Amino acid sequence: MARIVVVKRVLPPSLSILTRFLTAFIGFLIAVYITSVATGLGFSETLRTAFESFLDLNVFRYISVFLPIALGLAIAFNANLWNLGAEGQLVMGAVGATYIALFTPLGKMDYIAPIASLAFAAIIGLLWALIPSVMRLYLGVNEAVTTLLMNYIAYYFSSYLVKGPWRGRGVYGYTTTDMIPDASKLPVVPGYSFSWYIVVTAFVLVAIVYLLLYKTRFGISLRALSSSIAAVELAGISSKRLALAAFCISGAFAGFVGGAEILVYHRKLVEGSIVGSGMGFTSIMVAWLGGLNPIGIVISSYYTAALYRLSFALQIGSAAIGDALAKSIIGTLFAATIVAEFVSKYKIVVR
Amino acid sequence: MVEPILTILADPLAIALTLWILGDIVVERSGVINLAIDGIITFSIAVTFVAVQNIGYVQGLLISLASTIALSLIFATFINVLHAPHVLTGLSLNIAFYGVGALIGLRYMKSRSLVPIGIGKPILALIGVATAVLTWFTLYRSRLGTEIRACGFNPRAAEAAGVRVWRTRYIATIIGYTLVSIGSYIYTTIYRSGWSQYTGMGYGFLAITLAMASSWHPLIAYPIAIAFGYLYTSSYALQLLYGVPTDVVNALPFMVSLAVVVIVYATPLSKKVAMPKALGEVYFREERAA
Repeated sequence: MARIVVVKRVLPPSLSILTRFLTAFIGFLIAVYITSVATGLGFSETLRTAFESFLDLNVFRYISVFLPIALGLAIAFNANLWNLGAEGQLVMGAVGATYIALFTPLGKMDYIAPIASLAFAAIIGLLWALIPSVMRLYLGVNEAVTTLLMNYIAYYFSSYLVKGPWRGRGVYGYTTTDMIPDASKLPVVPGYSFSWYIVVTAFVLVAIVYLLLYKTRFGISLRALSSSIAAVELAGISSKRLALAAFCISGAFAGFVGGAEILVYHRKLVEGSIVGSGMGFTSIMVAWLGGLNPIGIVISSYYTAALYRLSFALQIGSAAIGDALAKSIIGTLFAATIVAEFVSKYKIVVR
Repeated sequence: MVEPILTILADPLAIALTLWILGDIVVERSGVINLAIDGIITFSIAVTFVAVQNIGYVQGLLISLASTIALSLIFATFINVLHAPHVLTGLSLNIAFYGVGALIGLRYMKSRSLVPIGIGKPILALIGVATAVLTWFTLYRSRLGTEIRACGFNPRAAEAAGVRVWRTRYIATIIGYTLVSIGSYIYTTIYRSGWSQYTGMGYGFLAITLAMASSWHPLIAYPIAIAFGYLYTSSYALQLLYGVPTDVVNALPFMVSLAVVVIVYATPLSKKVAMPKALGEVYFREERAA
């Protein structure tokens, strides 16, 4: 009787990378085709819109979110720690930055204000990530589930703040805080909604994370954690402290992004689900799409950012349908990359 | 005395929540982190709504069951055959399912609401209790249930003992998502009787949370589901009467689950409560020499 069996195989790295690119490219063409059918635009017209969204400078608005978070997550995932809480860490970072900018005298000082806000945002993000990591390392609680729960606590905490104690005096019907002082705002590029300061910081972080992961004792033992904890311990390194550090770094990066979202984009605290708007979850896929490698993540965050831009280009017809269409396409493309990963790691044999 | 208790037990939201949580428990007991449940609930609510509106109540239930199970089989195939990491599969399929569900809903919706079904309170309450007891019986008193729990505890050992892990996980997925689909049907036709884009988003994660708070035990999950159903339906009253902000009520299940998990893990209770240890492990069945 014929049986279907799945066996492991190892593709050479070049082929494995080629598979990823091919999936991304074919997936992209399919996405464009479906879009052109659904919106009634011609194929070439849709293709042009899609290419334009790849060349649009506004992709940096999303790259400056995805890139730092995914870099941080790559550190945690490399150590085999499932930090699914980037969304919540981002929101808490936004809360932290708003606190400094609105409610402390620091918020009105030129130059000091953005730096202090971003630093405090990173610290809050770190502390928010510290809770599940301590629970994981000292109590053995599955971190994937706890970090997921804490996203929602962060959402509701932020919503509580903007509806209650932090509600702005001049906002009338809206549930937001007042605008942050001008000194705290980071300048955006005219006509676009991103700041070069954050983009440059993100690319500096790429270099730092690359060096950290591949050129230091810390990074090498961190990557060894996922294959053998015993080997790391035998080398005289505390695996717990290592994991704790990895988790905290990923939380701090997400918190930093949350702070940047407030200083650059929102400029006031809004409800948690609007600050995060699922970008923390998407960053998980971005990190993984880039193969948990800093250089790969640069490419994958660009790709995902362009898809996000495309989703806005699609919303010209009807915002509701455009958003649903964008979700279907992005989700399917992510699923397709999982299939690509399977193809490069396993093969199906009928015997 | 009986009347108010019956009202709480027959609260349609609580019953839907019960079915979602029980469905999640069956799937997660087989060792699969069930994040895709959120997307599938959102999808099945949309499909139920348009099917009931366009065709009819009975046909709507059948279409909802068929499409929900079809999606869950896609999820199970990713997990089992494609050996995909559970979390990534769940997150990416969720995004796709939210989108596809909304597209179907927007395309075929006739109006924003439908006529709710009138079902007697005793029957609704019975559905909740009976499902909880049946799920418990299946998981803890039948051969299939033992196999499902074995897959969640240690798939390698289960395979060695003669359990076919793939098949068992597929069966668990089908059972679980049958419950999920009925839950969505009750939510749509009895509780909400209306639909807008992404209705139901977030209930799946709530179900996962509450399932964890119950340590994946059906009989503990039932009272938790009823309690939170009650809390949600009365959150408006709580706000008016005692000034409890809605956001605090909304955050409560997540905080309670966190607290429960910490208590269970930090105390000797963890030895009493058997949790699915292999939850989220990518299981690769090693080839044997033929």
